[in-house]
Amino acid sequence: MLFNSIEFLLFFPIVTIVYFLLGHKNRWWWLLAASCIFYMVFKPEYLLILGFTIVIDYFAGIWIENAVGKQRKWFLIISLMANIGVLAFFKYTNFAIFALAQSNIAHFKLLDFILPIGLSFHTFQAMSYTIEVYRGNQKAEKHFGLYALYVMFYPQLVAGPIERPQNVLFQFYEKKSFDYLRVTSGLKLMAWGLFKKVVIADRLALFADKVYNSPMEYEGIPIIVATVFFTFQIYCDFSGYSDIALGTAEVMGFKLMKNFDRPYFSKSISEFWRRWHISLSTWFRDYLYIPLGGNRLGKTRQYFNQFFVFAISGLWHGANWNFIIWGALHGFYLVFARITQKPRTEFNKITGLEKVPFLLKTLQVFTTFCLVSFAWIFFRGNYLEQSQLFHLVAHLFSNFPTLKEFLNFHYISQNIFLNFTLVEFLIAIGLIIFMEIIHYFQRDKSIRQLVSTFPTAVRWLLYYLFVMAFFILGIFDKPAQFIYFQF
Amino acid sequence: MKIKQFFFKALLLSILTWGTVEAIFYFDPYKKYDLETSYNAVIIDKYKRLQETPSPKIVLIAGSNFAYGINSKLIADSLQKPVVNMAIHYAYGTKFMLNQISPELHKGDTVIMGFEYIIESKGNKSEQLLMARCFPKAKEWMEFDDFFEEIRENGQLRINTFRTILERLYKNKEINYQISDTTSVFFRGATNEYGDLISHYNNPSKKPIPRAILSDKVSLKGAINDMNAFYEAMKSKEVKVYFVYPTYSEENYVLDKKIIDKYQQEYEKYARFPILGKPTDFVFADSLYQDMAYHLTQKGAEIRTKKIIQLLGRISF
Repeated sequence: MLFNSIEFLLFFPIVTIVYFLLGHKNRWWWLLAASCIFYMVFKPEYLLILGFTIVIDYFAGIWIENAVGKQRKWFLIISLMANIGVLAFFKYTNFAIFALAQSNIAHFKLLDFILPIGLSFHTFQAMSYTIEVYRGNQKAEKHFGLYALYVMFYPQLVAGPIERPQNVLFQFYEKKSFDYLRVTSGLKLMAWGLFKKVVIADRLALFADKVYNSPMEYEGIPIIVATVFFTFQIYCDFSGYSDIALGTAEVMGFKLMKNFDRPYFSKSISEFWRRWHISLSTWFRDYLYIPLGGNRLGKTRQYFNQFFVFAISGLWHGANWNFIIWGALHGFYLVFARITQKPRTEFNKITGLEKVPFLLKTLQVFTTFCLVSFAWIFFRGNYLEQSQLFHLVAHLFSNFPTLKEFLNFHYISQNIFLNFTLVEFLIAIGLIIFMEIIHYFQRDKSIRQLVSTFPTAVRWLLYYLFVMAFFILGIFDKPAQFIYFQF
Repeated sequence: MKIKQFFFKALLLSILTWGTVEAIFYFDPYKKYDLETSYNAVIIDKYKRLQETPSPKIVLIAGSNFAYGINSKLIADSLQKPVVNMAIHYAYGTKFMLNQISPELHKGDTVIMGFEYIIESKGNKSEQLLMARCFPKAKEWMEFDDFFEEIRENGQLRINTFRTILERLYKNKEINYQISDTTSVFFRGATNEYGDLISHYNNPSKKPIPRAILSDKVSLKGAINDMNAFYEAMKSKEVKVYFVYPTYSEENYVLDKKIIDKYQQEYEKYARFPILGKPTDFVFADSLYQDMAYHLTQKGAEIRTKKIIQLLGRISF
């Protein structure tokens, strides 16, 4: 079920109202049943895949806790193999078959099935459970229903945040009551997430799609405009989803981990990854980067680890070379940043940039933004043919206009507005600015807290205008799927 | 107490916001003007003719390829039967269009279907609802997949209407459509008494004719099934039903031949109704097209109509 669908508009209040009406003892099964329905809307039979890994991991957790010595490791391996096996089979088999055929090694028939929605998210969440039990950070959950709910909790089932058992499982034992402030706060977060998705992301998608759907027709500025718009689109799309997930959970009294923290204000790529898809980057840090040796085994190994982890994180997104290139590119950025850290600091000293912190920070944010945007080309172009993708990258800076052309409205209309009207273009830009202003205000204090200090009449006027802006500016043609659902 | 307060406030905000949209939808200041001028409202005149024309009559049903590309008078004069051209827009889909004419067909009538290669069974619900706004009876021809689709489509219609009204209020300028001008095409008065679109006759044609979009991944099976069901239902009413392929500009045909061949195979395989001619019978030079691969000029429409008459003649019509 999509968060931006009519079905969810009915599903959410019904589930929430019944949840509060039920006694604490009965709430787990209600939430579990609701989560099953939520998932089954996509493809009911895929519930069996979830059920399979849930059963394995549930027992693996108990066995790990009860076992001693090497046995514990074996039970962990069984659990990891089951999860990775499911992930590999459904997500990477066709990729492997295709790669083998392309390299003329072997030719197998491609498997004909649709990728289970959110597979990478819930398998990673399930793996974090058995790993944490193995590490002794989490007690094995004896209540099968609650363990199943940990994996299937509908707000974060299909696109995260990828939770840790220590953060979520205990919350299912807590008795939640209807807290007016918490409920309204959760609803406001949901509304903001929905606004980001339906109004900003889906509107920016119109511009990005225009170029990326027929890339060979464009050179230079239109590719840059579409890529910048996609940079914000994917942020609004994914962080919008996360906001709705966090808000939905908050209404019912659950606190999920924060997944985004104004990532495009990052001054470096490493900072970007501390602010972007936090639940995934910390997952890779805790369960792959550190076990590989992290930064403890010398610089060369650290560079390798960083590059490797990011390439794998690219592969996590999708069975496609583009995602691997996207991840590897981020790995390369990080390694390059580490290697050049000293000369860059030296350069800042010599040029006096260090003495103008605002300018230095602005330059750093801009550079990081450009690098991240460039990498998004590979991410967005995941379905394009090699020649089309090469065209986009090779022609990013070609065919630049002369000053005369640049001052011509027809040129601007075609290449910057991408044949949309001036008003449509200004709305798109205005929405990005609006969102960043909100982000700016949210630096120290939540905008929800800020609004709650306003007089009632002003607050109601703001709510009214916000909803009307949603109706006026939203893209409702058909509920667009969230980009990260495909992973 | 807090729960009551919460529900009261939530309800109040919903009423205030959705109420604004709903109120503007119902008290649309342009409703009367649209009823007189919008292309969707052409159904009022076409349906009136359909109801008032005595049987045996010939009813033409398709998307705009029939609206643009038929000279109904030629058919009427040749076959000595009154003609009603019900074609408006392909986006309504086969189910909706066939539901539209079914109740008004009687013994002795003849239906000629000529749906485009991009026709779908379900059609575009927004377009159907827009027609229903001008002509409430159109609601009877609509079929929703489920309750959610009905809510979603109706909600979207209201939001889109709300936006359009705001935009029109802001621009404060309405176009005066005329058959005699050289730009207007789609408006209520754009058709002749038979229902043929004539507003484009004195408009300049596009050169070159833009590329049409056909996909080899699309199947016409759903639409063919609707036509089969319609054919069976009409058989019991002693109404004759025929299908002719839509017209398609030559240059586009060369580019899309493979896909059109595939569609033709689908028709030959699944259709239970008689098909008159082949796709190539209705492929003409680009100079006979107005503004796209399906839209013929006045001259093109005449040539095409003669072809249809000739094909009908062959089956001892």
